Amino acid sequence: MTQDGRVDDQALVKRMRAGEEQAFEEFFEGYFPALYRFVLARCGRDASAAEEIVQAALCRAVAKLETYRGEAMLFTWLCTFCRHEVSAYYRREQRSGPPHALVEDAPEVRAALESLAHEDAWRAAEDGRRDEVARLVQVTLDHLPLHYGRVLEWKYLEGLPVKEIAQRLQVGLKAAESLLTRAREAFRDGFGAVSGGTFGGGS
Amino acid sequence: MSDERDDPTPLGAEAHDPVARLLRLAGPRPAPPAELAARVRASVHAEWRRSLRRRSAAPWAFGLALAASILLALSVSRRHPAAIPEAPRSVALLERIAGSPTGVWLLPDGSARQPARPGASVPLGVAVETGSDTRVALRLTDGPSVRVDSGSRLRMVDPATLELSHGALYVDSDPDHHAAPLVVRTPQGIARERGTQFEVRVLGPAMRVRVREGQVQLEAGGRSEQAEAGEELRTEGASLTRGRVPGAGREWSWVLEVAPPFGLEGRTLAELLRWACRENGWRLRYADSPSETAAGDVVLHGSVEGLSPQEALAAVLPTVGYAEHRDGDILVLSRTERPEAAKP
Repeated sequence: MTQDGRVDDQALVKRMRAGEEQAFEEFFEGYFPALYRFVLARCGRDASAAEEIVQAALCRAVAKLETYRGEAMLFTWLCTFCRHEVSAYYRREQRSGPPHALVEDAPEVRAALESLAHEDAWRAAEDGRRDEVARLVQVTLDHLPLHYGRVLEWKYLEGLPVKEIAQRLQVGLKAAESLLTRAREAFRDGFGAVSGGTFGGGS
Repeated sequence: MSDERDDPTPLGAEAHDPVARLLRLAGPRPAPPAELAARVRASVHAEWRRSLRRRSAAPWAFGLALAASILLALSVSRRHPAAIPEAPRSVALLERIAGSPTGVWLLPDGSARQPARPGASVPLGVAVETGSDTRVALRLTDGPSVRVDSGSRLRMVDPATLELSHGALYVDSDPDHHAAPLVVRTPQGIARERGTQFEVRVLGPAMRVRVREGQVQLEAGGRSEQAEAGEELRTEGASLTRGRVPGAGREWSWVLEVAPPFGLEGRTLAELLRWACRENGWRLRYADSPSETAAGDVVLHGSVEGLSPQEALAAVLPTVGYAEHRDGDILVLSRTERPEAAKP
């Protein structure tokens, strides 16, 4: 595990190119769920279409692993394949495009996200636009390096103490604290980006 | 120093921590359905292995085009295929885990055991081991469902031969849809499938075969005996005893716990009923002919993933205007006045 997710990604791809089965397991377990969510949101939540699209995208990606240079996060690189397959799917099906625009592009959701820094806006977010905000939080987590997303969920959803997170990651306590701090910063930056750069509050 | 003090967000501060609040607002990220993930995984894995083989062969083709000497090209071709070993043939897919999600391992020959997750493929020659609190459902490539009880070890000798060294397995296969009858080998004897639903269990020095549907031929201690549906055979050393076992009930409850999910979307009510009856060992009887005819025409939508067969029936039947009651091991189905509006 490194501070730069791209280094981890490059190492993973290298192991896959060497034919290591465990690397394939890590690749699929790590990226498939997030890619499925990514595509599902772009095909009107049509599970059958999402399955077909993600399968096609991943098949293309694993056949082109040698073209991954580590310039972008592996997840970002894989999303490129998914976007291409979404377009191809709708061309093939002779449809004009996904039936629903992405929620994060809607002005009212951007406004909701931008207001999250203010205490009184929480109630609004939790009332009318909770689902949209929740999905964007999950989108942000999906775009973080794999271990960042995991430690944030372990910490804040499962309530694990740092000591236990360190044990799960098989690292020391200080390394786990440091990772959690970086994960929080990355989440804040990522969520700030999708919410128009206004995400704020305490540390 | 406690870990709470070292925590970047100390206790008490989390209530005002926007990162913590946002994550709790969002909740866990939804996971794709396990059945869907298993299908995609199998396809992507196959494509990955194909690409590795193509890549290992590519230098040969390139060398052949450019080399002045055919001998040089041949020498390259002989080296490269060995660089990436051929993936062992997959003979089963891990379809479902019941109990601890970390309680299933694959044991390739000569290497350490590896944790396995739903969707993992099981190559030829590899053993599957379950922990004391975990059961697993495998789908063989030829179609049968094989459930492995907790505390078991099963090795895939070939696509039609399973080697059970301890614990128990249950086989549910459709004789119309797979080629070779399954053979289960144990240290005590060999069970040869002549039918479609049976359990083989290793009990220390003994071995027991229970047949729910069809027949099983047991070879042990120099004898060969056939067990019919509703019978069990137990062998230990030279002795072999025969007994009765009901087709439904607690004897089969562990099998139900790890039943693979039923894909409801687009299937008919008749298919759902056949699945539920097969899993429970029930027989199906319709109250009248119109009820039976209509069940084949009712197309279902939604999902019953995560529900047991009984729970699935309870969720679905009221919505399509049907009711059921049990008469022993017979499930009796009848139509009601009108369906409820709920959707599973």
